[in-house]
Amino acid sequence: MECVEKLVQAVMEGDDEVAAEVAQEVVEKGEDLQPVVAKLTEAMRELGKQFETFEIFLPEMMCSSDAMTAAMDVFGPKLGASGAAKKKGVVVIGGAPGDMHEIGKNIVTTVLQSDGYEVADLGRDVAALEFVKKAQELKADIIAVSALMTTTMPGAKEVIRILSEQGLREKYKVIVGGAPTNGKWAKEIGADGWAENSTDAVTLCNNLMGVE
Amino acid sequence: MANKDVLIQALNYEEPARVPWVPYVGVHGGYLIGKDADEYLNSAELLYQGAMKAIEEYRPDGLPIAFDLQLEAEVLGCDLAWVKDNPPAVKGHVLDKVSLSDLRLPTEGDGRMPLVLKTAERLVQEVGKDIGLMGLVCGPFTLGLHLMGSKIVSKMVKKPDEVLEVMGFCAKVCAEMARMYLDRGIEIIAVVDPMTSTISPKFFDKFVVPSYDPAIEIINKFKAYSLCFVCGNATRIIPNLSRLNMHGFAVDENLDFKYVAEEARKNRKAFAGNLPLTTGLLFGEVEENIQYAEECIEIGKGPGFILAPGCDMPYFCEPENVKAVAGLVHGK
Repeated sequence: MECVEKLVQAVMEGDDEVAAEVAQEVVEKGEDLQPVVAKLTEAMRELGKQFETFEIFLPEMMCSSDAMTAAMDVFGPKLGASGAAKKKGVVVIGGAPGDMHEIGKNIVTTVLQSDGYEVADLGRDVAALEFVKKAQELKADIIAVSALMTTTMPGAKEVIRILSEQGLREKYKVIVGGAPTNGKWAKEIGADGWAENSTDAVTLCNNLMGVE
Repeated sequence: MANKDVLIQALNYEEPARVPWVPYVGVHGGYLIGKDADEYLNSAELLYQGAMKAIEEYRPDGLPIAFDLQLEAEVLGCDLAWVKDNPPAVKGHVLDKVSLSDLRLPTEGDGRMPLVLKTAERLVQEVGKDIGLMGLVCGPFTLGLHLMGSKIVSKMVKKPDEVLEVMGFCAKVCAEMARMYLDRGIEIIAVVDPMTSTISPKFFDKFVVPSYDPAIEIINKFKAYSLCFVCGNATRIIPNLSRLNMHGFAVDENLDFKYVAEEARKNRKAFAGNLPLTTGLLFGEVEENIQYAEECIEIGKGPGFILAPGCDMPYFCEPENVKAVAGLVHGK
């Protein structure tokens, strides 16, 4: 089997060790990395679709994401700026201030990455100002705030307030999600969108970025 | 006829005399008596007062003793983050610091166990004849996530034996916690395993189903009733939940309740749900909540159906909304 096919298979099967090994072989053979990354991204999109239709579940998705990351870590230095240009967009994501939950946010992160986004995951309980600072640092397109508690939902509004105060509101799209949130509330706080689940988050980001 | 009789009828998959109603009052009990969630979940007296207030206001047929899925994890050494208007959250996973072999099963004197068990004893004594009191235990998979963090999810693929070992320990914790409640006269044990909605039916059968066996064994030994609670879009594992050797299961509003009812009835199992929490009980109007409850009843009515919210009621849940549902159930 060709190296590239083996690599795609390792990612589809979620084997990060094999993915890293084969990625190294790909580099050593001097393959053009851009088409390889394109194939891997396509594979991850396929997995994203399977996740959406319950053909695969979170464990498989997380393993494939790990395998993709392992391959990209090997490619990283060789890809340079052109690799980054292949991304659909840059998303800064985190749990709202005071919110210690992260599994939902982690799922969204994995699915967005699989669809071709560069995602900076700031973790849980992220100060509102940190979202803004990181977005500026990474020249992000989207800020995503996850709230799993009704009491931490106002943190998303605070992010929007800081952006407005600093004259940055038009620079970033702000999206929100999490079990207690809903579209009506998202509209009320002035967010650019709300997603009910990880699949909707991808659709929302694609719509906001004007990509498919 | 005691209120709990209709609940027991549903758990026995009989046609109840009227719709059984179980509002999951957890931290919301603190709100009802004007106490913060952290103070509430750290006091046997307040847990008792909150439950009594909920019984007075919401006229339930069943009620949980305490809805805190972090109780066992805390005893086992996980760090918790406390807030004033929610249950605590796990912020540090104990298996990041120690190995599984270092962990010991919780005892009745550990952590907040004494205050929860004391509350159980007191409520059984005072209202147990009329209300179906529920002992809630953290499900093995959710406890595994507390202990290991989200890496347990990918290790189900990469290191299944390690996960099975952790699940084996969590199964024992779950059974032990159930025994503590049952020893105090609790008649219904709910194994609350919300995170199982993220895994496949195959993994559910492989990793999770066997982990329920020790708890089921002890529940059956006490001739008590068993329920399994899940959250999120658990559509794919509904048939598996229905096949569990339990009396029934509970779901939230993220799935099609009609489908849930159909699957539960294939195996003559009780099923509880699925009043919307956020859009309904928390932020909705009274009329909307009555409508949601009527829709649930219309779909579920008949043997096995229990009217309940999707999950633990939020701290700030609007009492008038809950009272309206109670009014609908009781016909006034």
